[in-house]
Amino acid sequence: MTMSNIFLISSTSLIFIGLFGVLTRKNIVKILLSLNIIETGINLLLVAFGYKEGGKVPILTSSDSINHLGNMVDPVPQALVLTSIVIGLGTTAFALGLTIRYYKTHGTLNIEANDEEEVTAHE
Amino acid sequence: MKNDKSLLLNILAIAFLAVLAYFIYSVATSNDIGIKVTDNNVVENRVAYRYLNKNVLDENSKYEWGGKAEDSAANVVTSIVADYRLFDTSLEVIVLFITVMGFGLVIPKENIKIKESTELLYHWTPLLMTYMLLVGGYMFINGHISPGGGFPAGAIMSTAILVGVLAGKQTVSHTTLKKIEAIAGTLIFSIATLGFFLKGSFFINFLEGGNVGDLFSAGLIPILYTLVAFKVAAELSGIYFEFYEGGEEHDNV
Repeated sequence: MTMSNIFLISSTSLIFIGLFGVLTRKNIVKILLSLNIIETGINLLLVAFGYKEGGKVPILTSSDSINHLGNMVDPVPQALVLTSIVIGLGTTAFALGLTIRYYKTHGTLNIEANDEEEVTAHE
Repeated sequence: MKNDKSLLLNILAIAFLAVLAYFIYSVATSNDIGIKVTDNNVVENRVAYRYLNKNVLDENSKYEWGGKAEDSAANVVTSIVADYRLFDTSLEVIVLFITVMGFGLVIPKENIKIKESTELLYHWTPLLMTYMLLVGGYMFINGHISPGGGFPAGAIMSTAILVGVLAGKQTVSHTTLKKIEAIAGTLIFSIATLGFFLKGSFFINFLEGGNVGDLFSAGLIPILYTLVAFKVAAELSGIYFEFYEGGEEHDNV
């Protein structure tokens, strides 16, 4: 089992733990937490695409770095993940704002209609 | 009865997702034709290799420590974020701006009381804020040499402002933050347009020169990252003020 396999296993586990939360939880805050777990898994997967056995940080630190160019990991997925993290932060803030609005109008964070509301809906 | 049903649904969901996850894992690691995550690609196919061995400025230019290069940033990730894919990054800043604006739109404007801060937090806040602003400033100034950059620096600086808000100190007003954000955003796109007029390409790095690894190198990258840091810090701090000043508006009405 190589490091890439471990990255793959952990990122797929994170993505599917998050999917499980989105599918089965009823609380909006828990659903948002699950969405963030999915996002973390996807970011890990993207970084893992640039992984390389025995790779080094893609930063030149001294004149010796020129000898290790071939050993550096791929910097492009890291740049993409930076974008992804920032946008994830913005969308999470927006979703939490919507959650506060939902709580003010419905008085609950539950996405499932309770018994009384179901009765009124049927009538 | 209802609990039994939800337990059954949970077990079904776990079983379904486990099968799906196993399928995806086995496809990703199988030995058939195609590119796999687990492929240990040859070095020559990596982007880093091609980037670092480029030969753009002239015949003899080579990327090395202390030498001249196309955009002399020692941090390759910064080079990609703030030079080659700068258009992407600028649109990312706009996306952040729009989500924060939307947050201000959907948040209910009601009186939210902030608890009085404790004595300890109140007196330690100036010291904490100084250190946080120092770390944030260091990160965006050195973004092209060492790990860091505009986005994490902006997040750290906005945390400093959050500490100020929690301690009940008057640090910056919401209007000042909006002005900082507007000025930074306008400057980013002014520099981009200036590049169009000087070199004929939008967002081109028109300040050349500097050696790889120097503080004053990499042309426009430190300038743009500084602007990005201030814009991100102002945007994120705006979120705290949306909570905090909404109440005041309500009081005036």
